[in-house]
Amino acid sequence: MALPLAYDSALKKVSLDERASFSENKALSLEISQLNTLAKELLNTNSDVPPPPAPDFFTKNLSMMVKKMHESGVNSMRTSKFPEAAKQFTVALGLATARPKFESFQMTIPETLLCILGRCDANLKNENYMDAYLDAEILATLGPNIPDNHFRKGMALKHLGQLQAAKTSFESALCFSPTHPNLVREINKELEDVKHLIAEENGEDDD
Amino acid sequence: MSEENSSFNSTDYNSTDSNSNSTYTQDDPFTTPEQSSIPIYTPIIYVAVLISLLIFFSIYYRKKKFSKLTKMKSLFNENYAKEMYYELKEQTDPKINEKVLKAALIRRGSEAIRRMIKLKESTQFVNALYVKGSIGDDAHDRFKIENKLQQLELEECAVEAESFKTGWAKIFFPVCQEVTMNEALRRRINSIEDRKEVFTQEWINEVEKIEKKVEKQQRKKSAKK
Repeated sequence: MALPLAYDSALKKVSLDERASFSENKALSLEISQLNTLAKELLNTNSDVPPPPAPDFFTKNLSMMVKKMHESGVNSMRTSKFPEAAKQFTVALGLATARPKFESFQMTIPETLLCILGRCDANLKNENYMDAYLDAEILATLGPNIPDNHFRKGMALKHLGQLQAAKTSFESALCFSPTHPNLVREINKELEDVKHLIAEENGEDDD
Repeated sequence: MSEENSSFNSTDYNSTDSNSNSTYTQDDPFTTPEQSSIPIYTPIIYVAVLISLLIFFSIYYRKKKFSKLTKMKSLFNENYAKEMYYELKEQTDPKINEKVLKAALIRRGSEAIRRMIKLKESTQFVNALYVKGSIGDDAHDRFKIENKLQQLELEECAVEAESFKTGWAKIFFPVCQEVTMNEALRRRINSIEDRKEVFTQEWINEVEKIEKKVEKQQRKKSAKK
């Protein structure tokens, strides 16, 4: 069966045929958008085929821009301008994800994670727990052996009222043996707090 | 004595001789082998029938196996990247830009690599489950066939890459691998907004449920009063 595709030769873009319904071809339209992004990135390069994913071909200008934006976000955090910091980290993340897809993943991921990490902290401080949870979830998936990520997820979940899930996150944070004594203390404190809240919810609290 | 013996012997011999003579002359059907009338074609026909039966059986068996294989559902969803590549390649009006085609081929290769990674990840567990008897022969066969198909798909991609530019196949797969990983990361980051909507809806539903519960309890209390 032929796919409902249309091609615009001026824009060099593939799109879903107008007659096809979007809801029926959700997976296909995702594929099309990914193809268009890659094609655009390839059209912007000078060589006829993408260069090998070596560190020499890593776009350094973009890294500089991301770094600058990240730094300004950190500065905003220092002066307690949390909503602004979250916005700056979002811009930095946008720049980091705009990197061509055929460039080294190994060098892309630390950059991207740093931006998400900053945004997650800014959202936590800003008490925007839903966004903080979504960021923390990605962090916990991509860096599962870092206890801080599970701690962030736990904090967001606790404030969202998901106490059982928060308890699991704090426990997994302890599983990855955090080394910083402050962090251990914080996790244990939060874990006790969550346990207390769960007991209260179940009506088993003595106080 | 000796004479007598000899005479006896001689008579004896004589008598037997006469007896035997008489038997040979009688023409007994049990002793004389009957001439068989089987034609020379019989063994040939026998062998021919046997061979043709074997051939028919093998054809039938193969056809059945083939139809079973074609009816077997793939472990993965539809491979849109591959279909899109073929469709764009065959399109002549308007002609597709070569770089767009190359991008489509890279996406096809990256999809093949993604599937390969998924299969490799699960090989250990599928084998363990098969040994334990938790999954049947069918599922295990399906898994093995999928592995072979993905191998073929990778080879096909390499041939296609080579047709665009000789020597491209060498750096084609490392590039595809990066694309696979990068796209997976982008998909996760881009889905944040969608997930937020889903979670918010779930949250609203939960709150509504609790509100209804509380209302019911209050109504019960007021009815008791």
